[in-house]
Parts: sequence; structure tokens; C-alpha cells
Amino acid sequence: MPKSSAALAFHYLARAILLSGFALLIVHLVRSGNLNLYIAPRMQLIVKLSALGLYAVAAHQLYSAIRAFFDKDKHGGPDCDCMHEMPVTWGKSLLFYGWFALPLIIGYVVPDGLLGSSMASAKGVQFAPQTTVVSEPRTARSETVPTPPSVELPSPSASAPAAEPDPAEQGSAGTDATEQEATEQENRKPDAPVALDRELSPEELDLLFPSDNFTEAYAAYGKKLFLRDVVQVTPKRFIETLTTVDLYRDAFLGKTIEISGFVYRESGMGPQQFGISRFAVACCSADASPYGVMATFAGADELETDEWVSVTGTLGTTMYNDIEIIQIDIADFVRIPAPGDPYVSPDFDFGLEQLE
Amino acid sequence: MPNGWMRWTTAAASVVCAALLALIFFGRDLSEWTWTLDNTKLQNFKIIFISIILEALPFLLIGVIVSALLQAFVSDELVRKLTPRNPVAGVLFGALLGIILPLCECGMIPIVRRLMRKGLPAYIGLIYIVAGPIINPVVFGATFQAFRANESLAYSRFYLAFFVSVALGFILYDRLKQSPLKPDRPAAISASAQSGTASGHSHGHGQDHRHDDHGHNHHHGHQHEHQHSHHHEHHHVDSNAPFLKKLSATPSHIADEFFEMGKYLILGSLITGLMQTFITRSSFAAVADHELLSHLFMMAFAYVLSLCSTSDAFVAASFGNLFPPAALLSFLVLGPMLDLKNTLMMLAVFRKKFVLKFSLLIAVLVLIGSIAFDRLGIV
Repeated sequence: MPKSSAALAFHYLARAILLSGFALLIVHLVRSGNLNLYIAPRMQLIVKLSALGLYAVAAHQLYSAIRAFFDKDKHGGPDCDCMHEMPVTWGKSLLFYGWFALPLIIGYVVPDGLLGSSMASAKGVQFAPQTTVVSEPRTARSETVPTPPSVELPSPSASAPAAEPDPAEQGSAGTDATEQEATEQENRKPDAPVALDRELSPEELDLLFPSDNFTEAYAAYGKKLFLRDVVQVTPKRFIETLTTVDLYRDAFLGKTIEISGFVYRESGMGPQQFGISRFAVACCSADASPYGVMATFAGADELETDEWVSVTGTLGTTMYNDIEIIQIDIADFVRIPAPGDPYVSPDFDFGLEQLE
Repeated sequence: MPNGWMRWTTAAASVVCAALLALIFFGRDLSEWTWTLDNTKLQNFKIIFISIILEALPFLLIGVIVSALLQAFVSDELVRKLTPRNPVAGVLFGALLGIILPLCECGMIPIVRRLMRKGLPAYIGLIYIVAGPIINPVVFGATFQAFRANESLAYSRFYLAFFVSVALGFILYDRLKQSPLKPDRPAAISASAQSGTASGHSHGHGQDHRHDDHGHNHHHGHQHEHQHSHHHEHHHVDSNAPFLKKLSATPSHIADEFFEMGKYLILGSLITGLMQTFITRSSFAAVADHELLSHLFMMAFAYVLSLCSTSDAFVAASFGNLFPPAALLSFLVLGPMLDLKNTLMMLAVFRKKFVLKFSLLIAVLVLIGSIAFDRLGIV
């Protein structure tokens, strides 16, 4: 080998620095809480573990560097690695290691920003999530499905809390009675629709939520949502809830819906229209797909694009890009800070608990 | 090499190193100083670019660690003994190996290269690279999750992936007479050519691998490669070496391969990040109605997106309103087999001409297959 031991030590050292640079980048992102911007929660553990692995390899390279520097006679380091991959000239070394430094420099220097409207418009916001489930949009549903008599008064007697995520429904599948007991104690919102003085029978619910094998899970979830006064689109079930509401929109028309996300605008929207959107990420933000719901609001000017809001409104429909999509007529909004965990993930348990 | 140039670059290198160190230790503060760079597109690019690298790192590490362990502990004889001799069995073995070894492509390439150097017939390794990222339980689960309402599309993905990889396997078995692996250690070769100090092992190794996956030369091919790899790797693959000594060689291999594959991973992530940042979806909705174009488009799209095969089904599902299911099928089958990131990583390992032909072959097979599935009403 042509290299001097000092040059060899330099190569080992450079590699040790770069490897630990990657490990530290991961640690830095974990500590600042920004790893959420890059990697979906279910994949974060393995990324953190890779930081450990990188540290270990970096430590070994550092050890090799020290060995190479002091063992003047033997150039091979502790186990004669022979440095197959090492560039030979200084210029090449600079290019080679600079190339690895590039993502590190970008990682440390460019500030972390949320993916927002600009990325959403590049990818195209999914305003008709039912098309991810059924290939033919069910715009002609009312022809095939007889409208049950109860549909004019689609609100059950119970009133749901307005701002509470729905972990309670986990594990209480099919036990709607318990849910009703729990929610009946809550105060009714003043603008809540007139309550029905009787509960819908299971048969009537089945009529409202027709399903086949494919949409079974959505129908079951829809029935549960339907029994609440306010349909909450929670981050945990963002896609699933929007899909259910879109799929069974006839049942949900006129219901109060609550959702939070960033304000998204694109050409083709009316002056009072904007989307409320979030990115769905399955593994890392490279696979981020924006989902959202159209909203209409008389005071739409007050809201800046990319601002995070939590809105409450009534569910309706509108024609957009030649298809009928659901739309929220906003009654009330609150500006909220962008959540530390801005993305939503597909719920991998969705549909499974209903089978039990 | 002129002395002044050397001194200058040394200085530059140390400045870069110092700057890097400073960045590492003061990263957070620097982010605040650089508000002038606060540009949405740049931030979007950063998020995509860094997230692909971060997501790939663990799998790349797993790949290079397994590869290094194979190098240290699995003998060439063992690999050859376990490899099916019969081409049909070999093709099936390659196509279904992903079920036992579910890896994504970032981790697969270093492992397959190692196995091929140890005598695994090239066609088996290549089928595994192609089929493994689809035909494995993790991807199976994710695909059914994403297409719960369109199970025929989910099934079609696996059938088509299987058919394409089997067809590919037989074509490779028939046509591939030469090892597709690059001559070993290109860095070392170019380095020694430049500095004029040829070191025997790299040149010698470059000529080996008259491959072993065809008839009569079978035995001869093995012997040939065997000698070379022993010659080349004699420091490490000494079957008499004590366990600890073998183990101590592992981290060096890991670092070597990490840097070797890493440079292509970075390039792939860089290009993918730029594509995702600057190409908008609305610009291509026009092609969605045309059958052939929609297939070609979704294939090209899968290629540049370079998604992991566990997450691409969700992305495909979000296209449900734009493209017909058959075009989604092209996307779902081609993407894991062939994408920008993995092409670049394959270029690190395989010969350029081979990668080109191989990629075209995959694309054609997927296109024919998914159109056939469409016509037969399977999708």
C-alpha cells in the first residue's frame, strides 16, 4: 500500500468524524423533538438504534486511526483492513468526504420547517378520501340505497364532548351503550342540532351504513361516529375518519365535525374556500401524502395559508374539480400552534378490533 | 503531485473538518443564524433528503453488518452447498427468499454482493434483489392495509411480482454468462492506476467470476473464483482464525461498505429530494386517461420517488382517484424492483451495462405484465 501511516490515520479519522456526525444528527433530531418531521413514529426506534450502531463503528474507526498513527511500521491498522475504499489523492479525499458531509451540513444548517402548503400542492391534496377505498365514487349512492326515514333527523340523543380525543372507543367496539352513558353527562353544545328523542335501531343504522367486505370496517366505524353529536377527526384516525365520513356522507350531512390541520389553498378554490390538511406519513416524510377536507368560511381572509387551525362546522358537500366532495361550513375556529407531531399515520389497527 | 497543491488541499481539508466539527457541536445555534436560508422549497428539500437518508441508514447498517458477518463466518463452501443446483429450484429460491429474509433494497444489495462473491449464482441473487422487497410478509401486511377495499389489486401486486421475477430469473439464467459484478474495488483500482503502484489483489480479483451458473464450466468456475477470493481476502477468511479475531475484522468491513454504498445512497436521496420538491402532481394528471401513458407514467413516477416498499402502497392508494388500478399495479410492482436510489446502489456493485439492460428488462416485463393483468380482468 502506498499510503503513509499518517495518511491512513487521516482517513480513519475522517470516517470516524463523519460516522459520528450522522449519529449526532439523529441524536440532535431526537433531542429537539424534530425527528417527528422526518420519520413516522413507528419507524423511529430503528432509526435511534442505527445511531448507536453508527457510534460503535465510528469508535472503531477512531481506534483504528490512533493505531494507524502510532504503528508506524504496520500500515494496516489493528486488523489490516487494507483500506480498499480510500481515495488516494487529497483532492479525491476532499470530494469523497465532502460528499458525505453534504447531508450533515444540510441537516445541521438548514432550519427544520414543517411540510406545508407548498409541498401539499406539489403532491396534490386528497379531498376525496373515499376514492382510496372504492374505485367508483359513490355519488349516485342515493339511487341504490333507500334513504331511511330517520335521515332527516340524523342526531342521536347523546351529546359528545367537543374537544376530547377518542381513545375511549378503543376496545369498546360494539358497546355503544357504554359510550352513550359516558357521553350523556357532558354538556350539550348550544349550537348542536336538535336531538332525536329515540335511538336508531340497529336495522336503521345498517340501512344508513351499507357495506360490503371492503367497507365493513368503515361502516362499523361510521356507526360509532354517527352516534356522537360531534364527529371528531382525531390525528390517530385522521385518514380513516375522513374516509368514513366521505364514504357515508349522506348519513353525516348536517352533522357537526371538528378537525385540525393547516390551511391549504390552491387555484380553483373559491375566495371563501380553503382546505384543512395534514400529511399522512407511513415511514418517512418522503412518502408523505396530504389528506384534507374542504372548508368554507365567510371570514376566510382572516386565515393565512399554512396557519394551523382547529375548526368546528357543519358537514355539507360541494362540487370541486368535477367531483362532489365533502365540505365543512365553518362555524368556529381557533388558531393553534403547529403540533410537535404534525403528521398523521395510517392506523394499522383500524378494522382489526371490529373483527373481534 | 505538486507540493503546493498538496499543502493547499490539506489546509482546505482541515478547514472543512473544523467547520464540520463546529457544525456538529453548535448545530442548534447555527440553525438560528442561518435564517437567510429560510426558504420553503429548501426546507421541503431538506426534509425529503434527510428523511430518506435517516430511513435508509438502519437498513443499510443491517445490510452491511449481515454482509460483514457473512464474510467473517460463512464459508464459500457453505454458500455453495446451500444453493440449489437446479435452475427452477434456484429461481423459486431467489423469488421466495424474501419471505424468510425480509429486507428492503438498501440492505439487500451489500448482502447479495457478498453472497455472490461467495459463490451464489448471480441469477439467484438478482432475483432476490428484485422480488425480495415485494414478496415478503412486511410488505404483504402493508399492502393489504392500504388496499383493504381493493384486495384484487393487493393480490395482483404479489402475483405480478412473482411472475416478473420468475421470468427475469429464467432470462438471466439463460443469458447471463458473465458475472454482473463490477471488477472488485473500483476505488482501489483507479487509485493504484493513478499512483502507479498496482497492488496485485485488486487487479487479480477484477478478472475472476467466470460465473458458475451454466452447465459444464460449473466446477471450473467455482474453483477459479474460490482461488481469487481466497487470495484477495486471505486476511479475513482464514477458517482457522480464532473467533475473536474474525469478529474484530467485522467493524472495518462495516465501515468500508457503509462508505461504499453510502455515497450512492446520498446521490439517490439528493435527486429524489429535488424531484419531489420541484415536480408537481397536477402537471401529470393529463396522462391518467391514456392506458399506455398512465402505465409508463406511474412507472417513471415510482422510479423517481424511490419509496420504501413498505410505504409505497399508501402512496399508491392516495392516487386512487387519478389513475386506474392497473396503472397503480405498475407503480406497486416496479417501484420496489427498480428505483433511482437502488439503481445508484446497484451501480456501486454491478457493471454499468448490465444495470442498464437489467433495468430495461424489468421495466418491459412489468409493463407487459400489468397490461396483461388488466386485460385479463385480474386487477
